[in-house]
Amino acid sequence: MSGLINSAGSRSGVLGTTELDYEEGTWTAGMSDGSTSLTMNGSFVTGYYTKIGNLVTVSGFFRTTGLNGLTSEAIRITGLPFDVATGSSAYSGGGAAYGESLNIPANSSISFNTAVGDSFIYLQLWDDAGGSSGLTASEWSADGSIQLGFTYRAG
Amino acid sequence: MALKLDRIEVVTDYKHLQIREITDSGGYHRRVLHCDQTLAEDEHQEIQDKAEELWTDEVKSAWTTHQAEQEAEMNPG
Repeated sequence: MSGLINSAGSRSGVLGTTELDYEEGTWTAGMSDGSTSLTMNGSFVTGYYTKIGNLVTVSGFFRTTGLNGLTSEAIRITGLPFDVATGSSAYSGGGAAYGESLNIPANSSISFNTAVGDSFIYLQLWDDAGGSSGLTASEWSADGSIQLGFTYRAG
Repeated sequence: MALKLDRIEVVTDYKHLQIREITDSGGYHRRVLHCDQTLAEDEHQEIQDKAEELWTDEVKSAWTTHQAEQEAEMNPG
């Protein structure tokens, strides 16, 4: 692959016969239940992204300071840098790399999966033999935090 | 952090606006605006104009339907 790098860190190149765009930068995460936002810790809202072709890899360490009255509502992380592609083949996700100050049962874990055609990820709690359920605000807790990284297909 | 508008991309059938901005340090920052959002009063005028042009009632209705279908898929029953 070869290409030119401009002053903002973007380049494009050709791999075989396919032209690929390359771009890297930052994105700002938020958290909500889809309508009410949690209060974010301003020191833990910025993530990195790298986009090569239609694949976007994101990472970050995100923390809140308040639930703003949310309790049993399933919550999500918003603000992905690109829309996820549409169609069921575009679903993606992964497991949280690290968590802190969460209010989840012992021996359970948190994962996340994308919404398609949108720019957020659902948070999932694996605490049931049958599968996962949406992580609620109270399970997250006011000062909860996680680290994550994953790759998805951009729309 | 002051951000300078660099590019507006229109994506998906729902006319989402993918915004690329340049930070003080020269890097890129990205965000996506959806057609059901209320834009901030201090949003870039170019973005406000694009939203006004593209976010028709038909587009908003299709987006609402898509969101409902996805929620149903994620939370069956």
